[in-house]
Amino acid sequence: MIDPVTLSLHQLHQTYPNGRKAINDVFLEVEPGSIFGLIGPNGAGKTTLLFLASGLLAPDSGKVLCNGNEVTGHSKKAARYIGLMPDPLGVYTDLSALEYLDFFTRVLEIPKKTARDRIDEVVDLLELEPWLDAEVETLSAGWQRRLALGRVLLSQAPVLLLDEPAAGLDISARHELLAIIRKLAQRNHTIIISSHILPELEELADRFGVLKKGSWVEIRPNKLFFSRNEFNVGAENEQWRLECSKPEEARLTIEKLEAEVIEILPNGVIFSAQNEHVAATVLKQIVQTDMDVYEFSKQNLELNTVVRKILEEAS
Amino acid sequence: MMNPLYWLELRIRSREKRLWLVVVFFILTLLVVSGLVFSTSQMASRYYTMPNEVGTGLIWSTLYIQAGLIIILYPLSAAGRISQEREQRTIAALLNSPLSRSKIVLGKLLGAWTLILWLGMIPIPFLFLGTLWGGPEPAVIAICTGSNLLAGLTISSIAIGLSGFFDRSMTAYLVTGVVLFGWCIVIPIFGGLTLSLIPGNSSFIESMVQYFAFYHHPLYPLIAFIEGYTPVLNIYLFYKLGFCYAVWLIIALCGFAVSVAGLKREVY
Repeated sequence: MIDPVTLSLHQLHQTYPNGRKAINDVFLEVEPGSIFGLIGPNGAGKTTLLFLASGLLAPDSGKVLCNGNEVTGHSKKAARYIGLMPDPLGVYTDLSALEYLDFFTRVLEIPKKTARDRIDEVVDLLELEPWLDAEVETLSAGWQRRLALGRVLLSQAPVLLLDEPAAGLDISARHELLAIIRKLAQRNHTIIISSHILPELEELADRFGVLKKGSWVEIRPNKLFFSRNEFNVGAENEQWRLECSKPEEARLTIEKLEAEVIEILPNGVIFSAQNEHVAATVLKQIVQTDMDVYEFSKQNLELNTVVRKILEEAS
Repeated sequence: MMNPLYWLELRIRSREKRLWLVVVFFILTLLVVSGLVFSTSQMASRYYTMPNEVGTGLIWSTLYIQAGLIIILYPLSAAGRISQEREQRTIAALLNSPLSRSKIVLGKLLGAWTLILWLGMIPIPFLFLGTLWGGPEPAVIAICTGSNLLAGLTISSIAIGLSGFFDRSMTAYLVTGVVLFGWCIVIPIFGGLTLSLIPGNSSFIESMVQYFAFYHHPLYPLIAFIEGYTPVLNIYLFYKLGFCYAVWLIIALCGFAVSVAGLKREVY
């Protein structure tokens, strides 16, 4: 298990050399063992935020704290707590995978006695064994990503900042990588993942933050993220899914009540209702007719939709 | 513990094919020039060849070829060392570590210097051959070789400095080339023109111009020894060489500082 470290970003501000605000008053606290999903359109400031958190960039103002110790703008100090996997990865293609890991044990100043054990541990976790003698250049994108993650894990940094860790990977490689990340969270790592591949992030993250033009537009735990009423179609409505034997008849019934049909499916309808009471009334009316009801459930929106709506609202 | 960047440099550079091409080219050039020196010495004299003329010719030409390679050619190739880290996006991984920026630059610099020293060793058999023929005294040869190596180390420091400062290797190569061209060619030309305009009795100004334009030139120690065939312990030469090496040291330190400062910029 890793020593627990809480990462706190306090009121970070950062301006690009051209004067544009890169990060504006960002506050964030991520607890040990949790995964924070960092979402936002291109140019939102996600990478800048990760670079600020890892001390590679110094903010104009604000603080970065690891368990209360300030590491703001000090990459050497921050490296004790934080491991950054940037995007693009930046791997030395002329080295073999083993040489790459060996090189970083030297960079990370791991004593020679423990370096080999540390490499073995990482190789076991990431299942890199078959590829150790292969040149990095010849590895597939998925294995290169694992290797880069291996480099981060060598340091045993309790906080992991992963910028687009699953970019360019096929579905199976993505799932394998995400399983590894889940394992790391179980080992008490504090993890921030910036990603555009939202369905995977949805499975993984405990909390999400949506960044736009350097500011938070939304930051919530996973469950609350998807149950927010205001993201459903129609003002403050919730979406419901009704699967039944006569969708057309169901539509007519729903439209007579204070509800709105959004989509007619081959075996049912999706409708929006102002609240649960209205939805229950719809169900009662449907049950009283002669049609069969197979399923009735509240619709959870996909992360993609939620994020799109959040960003639309913010603009 | 060995500087990790130095370890990396040695490992990567020793696998570079173009380095071995440079070595082969270097040895071939030395062989061709040695042959030319020998044959021209024979042609110059109808009846017999003075062995020490062959030895001297061989040694001076070898030293100039050595200078050409380790002062001009190799340092230019060092100009991309740090900007390459930026281009291949490995710089963020390096900085996200306990390594300080100065250690990163030092590792790169030591890597470049080691290869210069190694390349500087290649002509030693040719120089040894020259001494067998009765060329200049070994102390002069040692000082000239040492000066060539020092000049190479200084220019590598400039190259590494510019490499740390620029984001793109191509820019670093070009700027290093321009700086070397300015230092080795433009400044001496201006110095020569200025000297031709100075009246004959202004020896102080003349001397100042010489210090400004010539006495720090990367080839100055070599030219001073070859032209004058001076005894090593010559007090006037001692001052000039002292000035020359001091300027080189300042330039090398500036190169180092520029590179470290360059790494403190944004790492996008």
